[in-house]
Amino acid sequence: MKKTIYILFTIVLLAGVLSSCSKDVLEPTLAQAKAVEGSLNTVEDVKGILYGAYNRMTSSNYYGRDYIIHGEIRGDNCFSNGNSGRFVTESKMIYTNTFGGFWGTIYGVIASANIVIGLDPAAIDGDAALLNHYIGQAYAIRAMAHFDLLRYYGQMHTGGTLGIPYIKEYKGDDFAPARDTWVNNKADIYADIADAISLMTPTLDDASKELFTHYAAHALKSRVALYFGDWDDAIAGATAVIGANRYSIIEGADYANSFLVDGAANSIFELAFSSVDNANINGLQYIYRGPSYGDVEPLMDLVNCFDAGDVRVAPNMIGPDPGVAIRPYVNIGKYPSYDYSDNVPVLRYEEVILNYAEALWRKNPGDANALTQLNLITAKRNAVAHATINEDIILLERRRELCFEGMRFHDLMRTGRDLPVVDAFKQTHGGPEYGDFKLAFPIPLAELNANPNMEQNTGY
Amino acid sequence: MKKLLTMFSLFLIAGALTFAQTVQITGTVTSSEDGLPLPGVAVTVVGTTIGVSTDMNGRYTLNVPVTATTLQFKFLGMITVDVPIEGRNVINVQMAEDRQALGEVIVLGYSTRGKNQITGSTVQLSAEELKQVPVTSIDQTLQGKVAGLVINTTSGTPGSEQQIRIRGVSSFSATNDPLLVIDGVPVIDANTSSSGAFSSLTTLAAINSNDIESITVLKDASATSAYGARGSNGVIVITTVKGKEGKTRYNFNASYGFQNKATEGRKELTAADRHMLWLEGIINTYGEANGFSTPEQAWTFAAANNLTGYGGVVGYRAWDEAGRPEGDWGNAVLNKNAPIYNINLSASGGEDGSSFYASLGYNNTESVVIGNLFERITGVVNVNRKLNDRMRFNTNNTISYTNQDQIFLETSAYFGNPHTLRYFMPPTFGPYNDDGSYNITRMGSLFNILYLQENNENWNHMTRGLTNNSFEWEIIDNLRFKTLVSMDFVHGHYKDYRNRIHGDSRDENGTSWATMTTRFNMVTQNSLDYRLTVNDHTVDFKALTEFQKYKYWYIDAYGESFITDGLTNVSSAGTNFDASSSFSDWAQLSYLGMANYNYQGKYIADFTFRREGSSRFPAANRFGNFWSIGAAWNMAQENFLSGVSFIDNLRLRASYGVSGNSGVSLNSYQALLSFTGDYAGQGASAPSGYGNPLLTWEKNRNYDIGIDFTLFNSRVDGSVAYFNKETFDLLQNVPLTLTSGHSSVTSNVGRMVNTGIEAIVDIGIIRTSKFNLGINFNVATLNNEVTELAKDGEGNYIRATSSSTRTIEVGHTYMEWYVQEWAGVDTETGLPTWYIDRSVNDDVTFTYTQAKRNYLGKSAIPTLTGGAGIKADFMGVYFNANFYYAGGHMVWEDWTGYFWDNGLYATSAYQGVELLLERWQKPGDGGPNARIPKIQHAYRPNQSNANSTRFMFDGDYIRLKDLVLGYNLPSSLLSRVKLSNASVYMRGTNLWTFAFDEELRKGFDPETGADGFTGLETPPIKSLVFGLNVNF
Repeated sequence: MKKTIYILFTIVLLAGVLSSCSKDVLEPTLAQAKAVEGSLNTVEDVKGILYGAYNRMTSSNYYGRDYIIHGEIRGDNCFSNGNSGRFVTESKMIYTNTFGGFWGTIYGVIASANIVIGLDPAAIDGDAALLNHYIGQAYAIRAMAHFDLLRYYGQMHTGGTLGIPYIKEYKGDDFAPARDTWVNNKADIYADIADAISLMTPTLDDASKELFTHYAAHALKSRVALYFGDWDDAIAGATAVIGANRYSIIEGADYANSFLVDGAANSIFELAFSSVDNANINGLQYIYRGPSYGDVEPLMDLVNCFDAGDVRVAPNMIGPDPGVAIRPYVNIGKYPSYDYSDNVPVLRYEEVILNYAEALWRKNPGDANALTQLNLITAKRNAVAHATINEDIILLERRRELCFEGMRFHDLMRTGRDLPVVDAFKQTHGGPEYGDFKLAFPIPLAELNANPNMEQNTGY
Repeated sequence: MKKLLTMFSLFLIAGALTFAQTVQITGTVTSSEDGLPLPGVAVTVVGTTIGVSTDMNGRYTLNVPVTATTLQFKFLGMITVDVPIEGRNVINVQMAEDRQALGEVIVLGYSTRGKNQITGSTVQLSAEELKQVPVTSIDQTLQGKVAGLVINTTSGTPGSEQQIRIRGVSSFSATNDPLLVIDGVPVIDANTSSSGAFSSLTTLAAINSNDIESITVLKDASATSAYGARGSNGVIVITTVKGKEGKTRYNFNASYGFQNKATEGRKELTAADRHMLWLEGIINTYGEANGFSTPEQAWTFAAANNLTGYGGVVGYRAWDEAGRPEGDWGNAVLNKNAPIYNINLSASGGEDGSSFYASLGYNNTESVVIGNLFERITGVVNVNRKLNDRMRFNTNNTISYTNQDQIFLETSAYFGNPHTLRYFMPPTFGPYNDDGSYNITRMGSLFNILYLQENNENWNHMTRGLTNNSFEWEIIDNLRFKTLVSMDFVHGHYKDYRNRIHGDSRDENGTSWATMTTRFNMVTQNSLDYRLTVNDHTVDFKALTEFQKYKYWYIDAYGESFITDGLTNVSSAGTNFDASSSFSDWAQLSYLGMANYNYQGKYIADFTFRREGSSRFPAANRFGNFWSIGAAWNMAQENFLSGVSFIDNLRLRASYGVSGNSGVSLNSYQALLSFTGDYAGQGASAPSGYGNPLLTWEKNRNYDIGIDFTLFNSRVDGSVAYFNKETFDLLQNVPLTLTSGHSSVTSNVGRMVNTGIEAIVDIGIIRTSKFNLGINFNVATLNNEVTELAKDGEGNYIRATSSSTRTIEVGHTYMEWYVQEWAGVDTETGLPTWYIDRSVNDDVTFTYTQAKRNYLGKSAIPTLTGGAGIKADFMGVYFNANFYYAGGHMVWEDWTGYFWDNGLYATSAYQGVELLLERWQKPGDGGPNARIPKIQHAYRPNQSNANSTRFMFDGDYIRLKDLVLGYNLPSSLLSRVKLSNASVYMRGTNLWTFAFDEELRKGFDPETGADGFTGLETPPIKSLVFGLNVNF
């Protein structure tokens, strides 16, 4: 009898232990993330996703470093001295399809933007105007991200017709999107910019300049239109920005400081970095100077292209590397802070003025306002005013103003130029001629593997 | 009837006492293993029922009839001894362990069986093979001792993680580490270091090898399927020392020794040679065009053109002006003859069915890198208490504290890595200034590690508490209930302070980062065991439920800018404070059923079934079923073999089953929004995982056939086994179009097969009471093939990696080398050449980009591994030596793109190696086997440093893992000082290494990480240790 009681007791005990281990105990905790379903209900939630898109733009693979550096080393502005082995292959412009480039990163930005764009506004709680302002920013981001991709992967300068897949939906049905033509891409970019402009209300524009604004979308429009030679659109975009009276060309005396402070008077859109949220050693500061990396150094041709006394070549802009005695000229003034905290300018008022000047001249070479606009820049840089205007002079002024900011390669491309060789020893790309297949990046192998409809660029 | 017999016996005895004369015999029974007295030994007079048991001191006193001729001594687990009386009054006896019955008990984790009762493939190492080995984590003792187990030393820094692979690699992206079980319970097996760049610290380093009774390695399905979803990589079952009943016995052992790098590593250039090569490069590059050909002219040309600035003209001029010093950086960072010492004291004893074991241990291991130190204190208390005849309580507790001091950057060619320094720092200046202070003048990018090791503060502290408590209750005969609660708590504390004067954080004016991690693992088990015996049939049943919960907390703090030296905590930092915390967990719930059938010890059958649920998988397919069947036939017990005298034991065994691998990243099935990002000071969210609602376990189907044999009166003992392990539903990151914003989705698509033969044999050549000599061998082959992968949109298999040197492809070995093939140096021009496509013909090209990647037919995984040992003892002197061999694989000398550079990396920017002296110099030099083209004044000239077989070697090597020479002091001497036994020994580890490839022999240690790359981590260590072991 006693035995039976023991056995019964044991069975009850065991059953208790088993039932306490119900299936709920296997539900994992989510402490740093949330399940996607059911997480986007308010304007604040939308803002979180939108800021996630901006955050992705600050990746060192995009505006955090690489996107800008490629625009400098593919040309006659900078070369890689190979100090840490970075950008050595890229400077040679030897790419294979294992080169990932910005492809994945930028499509990640697009995915975040598409989540915002794809939301049903009626299902989101909160201020409708603010929600539209956020959705407008997402359109602007989507346009710029596609434009940035297209400039490196499209076949505009290699004799082809292909552009990139223009993605308009997050987790859409097409698991293997094919490349559209770059002509169609251009139309999609314009359409997104138009949506951005109409959805964003100027009064809701963020004063920090760290977010896309109504006028930043106009500025983007002037950049895109200039690139594709749509002079009227370039003029329209620039005029809208100038007419807003929100921005000004920075004074010569403040030039260096404007790269040190956030939200300077000439800034239209800049990406936010701070002393605790930055790309650290994988950022622009570290690649332009210092003993550990400092790989990307200006060529003397760039250093020598300024007039004497130009504030843009003063020692606080281009000067000796404080970390390494043997580098007499490095980029000191742009992305200057050793704690990596500088915001990265994306759209500056000076660029808009230069876009405006060029578009005016292109449209009507006799338009005197073109030279006037161009000399607005030289006047505030302690540089000699230009007496005439032509493509070489425009490009020279853009090179002086925008060096180290990743624009040079695109300026050379859109004007149909070969990559100039100014120092055969330091420049290892050998100066590919306009039309050379190397001027477009290879589509990454990872994309080709996953996407049977993807077509590789010629030459790879 | 029984009563009648008893009465009859009494009568007889009474008769004997009355009528027969008796003599008194006394004596002591001791164990031949350790000389300790054996209490409870049954001493009987053969042919009578007269008998007594020995007392606590192993003594007995027995009155025996004068007619008696023989005494029998019997004790469970010992070989029964019959001793002729021969008229003596004092008979002392030594008893030896019966390995057949006791020594070969195999601990399987959930159960323990006699060796003849198991059907699976296992190898068990006993305490004597584990103790006194000067390693900081016990897994290192397994190398060369277990057929089919390969250990890759990822770093020789004491306390570092090792990579263990049992029967090869069986997963692409989930874990390949075996499951670690201590005293029947899965425990934490992790790296507590918070930086992947610094030295690692394994939680296993918290365990003292002196507290280990045995380690069993479970290899096949029959043995591992009880571990369900975590068994597929094999299981390592560690059993801690338990108390033994009897008078309290003490063990003291201490050792002291010295360590050095096991192999020297490749020799770097002298400054003079580097200078000479630099000038030669200038002549080769500019000489002809500028009309010069001598080193003097080259110098003039270089000075005129300021060639390569500071690394070149400026640096060499300074070197010349300083009197051409030779900066010996390689030796400067070494701590030669690094001392290691170990002290352990333990006690064990008990009575009346209760026993205890307690120990205290201290280990202090300096590293071969200056400043680096490993220190560990461990305390263990294991108590087993009989509560009453049917109930028993057992508790095992280990507490330890580990300090890994002045760890350093080592997992890559960091500028702060001491091993990098040797091959990257220009030798044109040394670590010290003339006045003896550290030379911290910036020179290129590298740092003076001597200064960093003195002025930075980097460490890992680990506190680990492991408690395992169980209660057993024999409810009725043969029915036992057991409940067990185990808790494993690991607290890790990591600090990374970098000074403001010199090094990585100079620009930030010094940085400090501290992290704390807490890992908590709790396991509860409830089980019922029942033994059913019907005639000669015995069946052991087990039913068990197990619940495991694992939690992980992380918190860190960071700050920059220090205004003073010597204060190194974040609280003294001035700016840029940053902090973070996070949490994760997982849980596992399992139901296990086991049955073991045994007929007369001849026929054995095993059934195991485990149903397991894991929080790593979506709710719909959270549970999976794992099972195995096994059978064994002890043929030697059959009548038809009973006449074959040379066969002591012969058994066939086979098993088949399915186990799994749940080592998948947490939450990988869920589509998630991550909130870890921020932008402009505000929190930001982003889609982090694509999510796969169908995600499930990786599984493997495993069959194993073996034969075990013991022959010629136990002189030959061994086994041969064949296994076939097919893993399927392998997780592969199936690439997604990147335009989706995601790169891949984890899916169960891959399939891979590992097959092999494993054999071990142990031969006793000479066995006498004074002299024993034995040899042993083990060998394992491994053949791996990937048979299925994800397919792309056109139905072709997708290569599962984008590595530029190795790949995973159907029909090939996992991570087979897939690389451009080096065709040597052109004898005419001295330029590098590559085969265009060697699978077609032997045409070569000067242009790297024309060379096609080809499969080399080998991977980094050895296809043949083995061990060989010799063991001898003579008059108390004992000797043994163990060799380890691995081969059939290829290795890659990493970072050679820099220090094999026939251009400016080696001669100007950084440093090169002596191999460069074998460069092409004039027509006729070079050839297909040459590795160094002509030196040029350019970075990476002609892409000679691009990935190719130029940097590869056959990896075959032999290593003398252990060499032991010891002496057991004679008991006659010891009894005077009241010691029961004592020994002194000398033990050498990794004393000799031989790589088959001549060039590899001059290079780095052939024992690479599992990926086959020689890195710039601390290489494996050789050591020579002297020790003393005393029992009293």
